[in-house]
Amino acid sequence: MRYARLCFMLAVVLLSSSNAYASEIESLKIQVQQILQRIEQLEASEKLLTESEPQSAIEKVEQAKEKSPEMASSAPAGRAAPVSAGENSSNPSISVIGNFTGQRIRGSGGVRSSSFLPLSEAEFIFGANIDPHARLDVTVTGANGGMAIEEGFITANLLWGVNLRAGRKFLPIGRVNEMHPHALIYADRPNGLVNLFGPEIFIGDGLLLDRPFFVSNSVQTVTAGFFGTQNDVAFDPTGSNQYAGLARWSGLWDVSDAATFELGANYVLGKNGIAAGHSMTRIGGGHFALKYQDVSQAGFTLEGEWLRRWQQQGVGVTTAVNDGSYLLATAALNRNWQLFSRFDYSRQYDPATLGWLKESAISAGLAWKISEFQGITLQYKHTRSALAAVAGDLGIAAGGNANAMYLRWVVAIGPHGAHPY
Amino acid sequence: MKLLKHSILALLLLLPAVTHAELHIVATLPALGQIAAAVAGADGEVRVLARVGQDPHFVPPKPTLARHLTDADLLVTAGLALEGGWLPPLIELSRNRQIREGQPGHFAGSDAVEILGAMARVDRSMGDVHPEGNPHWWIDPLRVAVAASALAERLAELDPAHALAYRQRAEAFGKRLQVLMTEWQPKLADISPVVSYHDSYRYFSERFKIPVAGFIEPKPGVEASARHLDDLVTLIGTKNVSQIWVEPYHRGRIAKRVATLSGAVLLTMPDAVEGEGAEGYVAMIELLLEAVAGEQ
Repeated sequence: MRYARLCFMLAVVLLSSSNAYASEIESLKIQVQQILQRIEQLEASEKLLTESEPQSAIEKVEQAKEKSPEMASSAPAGRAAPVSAGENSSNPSISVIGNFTGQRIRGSGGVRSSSFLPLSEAEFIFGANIDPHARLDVTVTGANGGMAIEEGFITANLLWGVNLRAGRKFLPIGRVNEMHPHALIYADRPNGLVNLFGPEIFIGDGLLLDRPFFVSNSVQTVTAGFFGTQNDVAFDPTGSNQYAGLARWSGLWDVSDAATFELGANYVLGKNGIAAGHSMTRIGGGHFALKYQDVSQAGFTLEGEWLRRWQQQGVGVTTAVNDGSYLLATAALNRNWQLFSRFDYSRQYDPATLGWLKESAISAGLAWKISEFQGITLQYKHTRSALAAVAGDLGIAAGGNANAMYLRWVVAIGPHGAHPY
Repeated sequence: MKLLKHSILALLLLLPAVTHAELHIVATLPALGQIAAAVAGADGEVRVLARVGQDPHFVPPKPTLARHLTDADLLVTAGLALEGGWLPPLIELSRNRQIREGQPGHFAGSDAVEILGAMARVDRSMGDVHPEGNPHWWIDPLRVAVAASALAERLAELDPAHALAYRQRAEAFGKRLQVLMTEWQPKLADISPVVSYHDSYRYFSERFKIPVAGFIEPKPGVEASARHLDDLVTLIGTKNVSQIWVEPYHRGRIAKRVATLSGAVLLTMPDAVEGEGAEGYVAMIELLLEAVAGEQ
């Protein structure tokens, strides 16, 4: 009797609990059925893809003849639909670039520093067409524990072949300043540019107009713009915003099917804010590049740029004059392996001695492109008689020497666009 | 009066040049240029961006190439993102909206033909794969016949005045390829398995029923490791592989080493040869067939 009562109580408990969860169970059943249906659909489509033999080409010719032009350009049956492209058509393309750069520096005065492959910089790149008239590209960079918008500009095609870029941008001065560091073969920044603009890329907020002209076997591009900058080396040492104008010409010629030659010149003029009066900074210079690449992707490049900065210090004070330059030679052994060597030369006029303080550096390195999306660079650089900006960057006293080894590993995920030629 | 007569004469002389407004067609790859020329004939001027022998994945995007695109009425591409690493900046620089993807002036041959190797899900750990399929379709003559027909329709849409001529040329080209196929196919009967460097020949090998046993690249676009090459040499022995096919732009040193170690014959298999229009395209296929059949 006691056993029967226990059984009855257990049955009541089970029945009540099953009633309580009946709706959830029903819901789960429906979900399982939906999942099973989805699996069947996926299996069917996969079977179609793997088993469908190419239709007789002769039949396809006949079909294509019958197709309307619209049909001719549509995807044939049996082809996988571009699911990912469709799903993301409303989103911007997003890519992330990780720049892991380790360095070991040994300098005058017993200076020693080293780091091993820290994530020195992460770039988050977003880009998409805004509408049929304009495009937006934004690069957010994380470095040294902070995030900043490194670039963010709108591109629009105007009338008469003129292109507009408005917003924050790496300024098109020389060849290197406009390029993202991960796109360069070497791991550091040429000393000449560090001396003229500081260790960071020279950035401006403003408006740039450029117009390419296709003349025979060449492209001649003329650029003009107006921008504000907080660069504290070339302009205001306090980092306050100053305005400047920019003019640039760049020409690229086809020397042969496999070789090109580029030549260009730049001029920048703006108030520098050093003196209370009307003190200006002027930057002028030129660049060149000779590139050769055969069909196996072996080849070489020889490129260089030279820039001079005139920085007025105020009425009655001698204008500071600095030159910064580099000459780079690269040899591509094939698509994956490249050797390079770079010579940096800078000088600064010294009013005290009425002479020039001169700095030079020589680099050599090896770059291994593991795939399209990652590469490793090993570089050695010897700097002699460093000027103030480079000395600060290397952590040595001005006038000192330093040996530096760099190991850089760059990786990219996401749909990263092609780098400029 | 004399001046008027001379002026009329000069105008009459210039008239043919003015009225003959041929289409400007740009093809990304040499073989596509030959197909386009075969269909367009004298009604279109065809220019090509890549050179014969160049890797279609990695053409340097020289800004000077964009000059060909500025006045193009039609851009002919392989499609499936084959040219994705270099073509978009050139289209952008040209500022020609007519040839942007999705516009009537943009023709991707892959949209017209049956595609092999499409994958539902891809990841970069699989190498440099094309998720929508293998883009090297132009190496199959019968798919080219289909693409030529679709191209003729597109040209007819852009230039209705010469629609009939485009269709007739495409039909003649297609029929010629079909007839040639009946001559070509017996030549490659009973070819033993081959190994290729990259998966560039899938359409060719499937069309001519040549089994592909493996690839020198362990994954598309990835350099071969010593272990992979060791395994490949063993595979060549066990599967009785007689030939190693390598694209002109790939690393001959590795392929030569594999050929030396395995005893297989190393063949350079171009995906384009110099030549005009249909003749150039047919010459490329015949060169491949002769090489594979051992007639070279």
